[in-house]
Amino acid sequence: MKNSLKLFLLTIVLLPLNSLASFQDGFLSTPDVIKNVYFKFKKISLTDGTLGHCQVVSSSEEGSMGYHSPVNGDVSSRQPGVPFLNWHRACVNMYLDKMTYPDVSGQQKKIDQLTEEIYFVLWDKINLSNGAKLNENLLRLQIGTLSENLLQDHVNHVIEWCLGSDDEIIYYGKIYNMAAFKQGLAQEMRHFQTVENGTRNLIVKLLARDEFLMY
Amino acid sequence: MIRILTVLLGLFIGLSALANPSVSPLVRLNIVSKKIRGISISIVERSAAQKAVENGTFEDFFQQRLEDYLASDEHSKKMSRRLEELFRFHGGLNALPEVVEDYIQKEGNYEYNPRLYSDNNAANFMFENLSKKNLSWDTLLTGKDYRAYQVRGNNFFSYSDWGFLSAVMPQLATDNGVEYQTGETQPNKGPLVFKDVNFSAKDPRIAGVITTGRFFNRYVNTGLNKNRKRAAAIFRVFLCDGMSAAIPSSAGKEDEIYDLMFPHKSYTEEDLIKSMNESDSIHGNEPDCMKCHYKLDPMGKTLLTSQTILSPKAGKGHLRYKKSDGSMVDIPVKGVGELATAISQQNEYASCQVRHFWNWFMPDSKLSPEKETQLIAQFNQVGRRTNDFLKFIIAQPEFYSPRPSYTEDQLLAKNVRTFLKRCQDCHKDQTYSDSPDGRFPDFTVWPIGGSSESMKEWSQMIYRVMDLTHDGENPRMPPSSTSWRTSYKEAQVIKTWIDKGMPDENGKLMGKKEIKL
Repeated sequence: MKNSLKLFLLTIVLLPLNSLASFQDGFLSTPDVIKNVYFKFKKISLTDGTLGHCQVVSSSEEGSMGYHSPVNGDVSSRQPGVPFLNWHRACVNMYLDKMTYPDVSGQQKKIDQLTEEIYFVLWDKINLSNGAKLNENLLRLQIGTLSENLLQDHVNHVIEWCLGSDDEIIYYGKIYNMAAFKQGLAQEMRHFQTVENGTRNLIVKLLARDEFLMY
Repeated sequence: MIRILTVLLGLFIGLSALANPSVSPLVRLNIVSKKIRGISISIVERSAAQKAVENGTFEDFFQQRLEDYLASDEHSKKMSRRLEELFRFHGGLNALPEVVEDYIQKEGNYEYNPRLYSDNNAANFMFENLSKKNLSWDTLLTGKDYRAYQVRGNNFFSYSDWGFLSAVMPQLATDNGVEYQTGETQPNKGPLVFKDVNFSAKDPRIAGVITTGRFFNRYVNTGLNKNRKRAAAIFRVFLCDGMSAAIPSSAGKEDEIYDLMFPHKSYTEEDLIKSMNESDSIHGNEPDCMKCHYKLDPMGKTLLTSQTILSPKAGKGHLRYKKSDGSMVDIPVKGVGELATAISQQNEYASCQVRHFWNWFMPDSKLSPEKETQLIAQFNQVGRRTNDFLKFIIAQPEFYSPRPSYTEDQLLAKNVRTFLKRCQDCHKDQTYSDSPDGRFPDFTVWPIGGSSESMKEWSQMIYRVMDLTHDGENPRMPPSSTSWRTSYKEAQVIKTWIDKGMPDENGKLMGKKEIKL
């Protein structure tokens, strides 16, 4: 009789309450991050070959992506960890590659609407007088030739493009001194030779911040 | 009277919050966008919002955006994912819609991709429609309208909604001029086929998500568990009554359990179970078990005739459970349809559902009893319609509360508390002769046992029974007779926590490691 009772008990798998969205502690789920990056980069499709894994999460990757267990409702990771961030940074880089990939000649960079959006301030101020269309020369421009103010304006614009306005960023409570934060990023830009490389590093860094990954 | 005044005051406060959010307009819009759609506002949207602020028209702008967000596919998909997690279904293909088509083409068919099935089935269609059509939240429980999908190339009844419903709607098996017998394998190529089916509002056999193939496949019935898994899931999702398999205090003879699981006799386990009858009732003298079985068993009977597919007959059973004040709910019902209706009329149901919303959208804010009363009143006032209730949720100041940031120790403490909650689920109310009151203390209330001394003793006990000295290689807890196996990572978390002196969420150390082996 008692054995039967035990066996009955073993058949009942009841688990804790409050299964929350993938990733906890305020972090967006991986599908949400995928969507955010997708929309941020104007719906650039990465369906070809290995790039596609940035837009669909395979079962084998779920462990590092904070997925909940259908068995017990627990999440595999409460917060984005190193594997997730590595995946995320690699994907942002792929989008950036796609955005300004070399054309058939391998020489010129394709300039699209998104590139213009990101470099808008810099280009607008440099070419205020002649109104020329943005081209690859800007991307190759040496950062050392930019004035402090111009570089700072560009950095500020990229920060807003990535994370939003100052009050949106401060809301998350991770940054208390916006001016110092912005200046620090502008100084870091100086470590890179070209505007393109510096901006690329800046975008990858900003899109891995909590302000982008949290809700 | 006081209750009514409380509700009215709550409603007033809630509506006031709508007009006076505690954050700036841009933050407000971004938070709503991220929580509802899962995506932040674009730079174009931000610019438009800023202009609206300058023009003094932001409130109108915000309301229009809110309507757009609530009507968006992103919102309905996100709600569907939340519900998948609540029901503990395996997530679908987590891909952008634009990618799915390409993915399908590469895979060639649905047969070998259960993740695609996870997105195309009656349950998920219902999940998405809740927000897409602003349906009553009760649809989850009492809905009678389905989009039934046919899954090609699969065993007919295993995954296909058509197979699942074929006994209650036989014409599904003969639609499109092709007749498939239950269990027959279909051709695996071709477009996705579905059919909208509707049942009478009083059909006792039909109950929203419960009577879908997905629910039945997730919570499998056997002659042994007699729909208890399904009943337990219904209690958990709809009445927030989580239960754990109890280890009876008088247990300890694991060999006997294994003998039953793997009998050395000629007949099968299932035969053994079926040979038991009511007179073999095993519940009468085990109070640890009866805490759950008195309510699971009568609920399971409403589905008793349904095994893998939905039975055309409605089983008689009861909605039976004890309320928090000790009074008993005991409603005789015929079929899961009547059961669902009975559940939807309980206060515990409304309370549970508003708590789901609270946990999804304001997980860090404490839900006070007054606030809960206010939410339930609003939930009922808007006819329990999903988006209408969400608008009220969005108007709450807690919706905009910044997320707390955690230190490493605080995060550690949170993880440990979550882990210990699972221990507690099994040990709660069990007798323990070594404690002053003869019961196990609540492991989630720190210090465990009420003092730093008892906390140390319990930490030593945990260290030993989990075999943390050897990184949990040979643990006694959780017992091997349960389905729970702790991972190496979980063992490391508990070990680190104890080694660090058991910090609580405020960083206060509750004791130093003094392990007596």
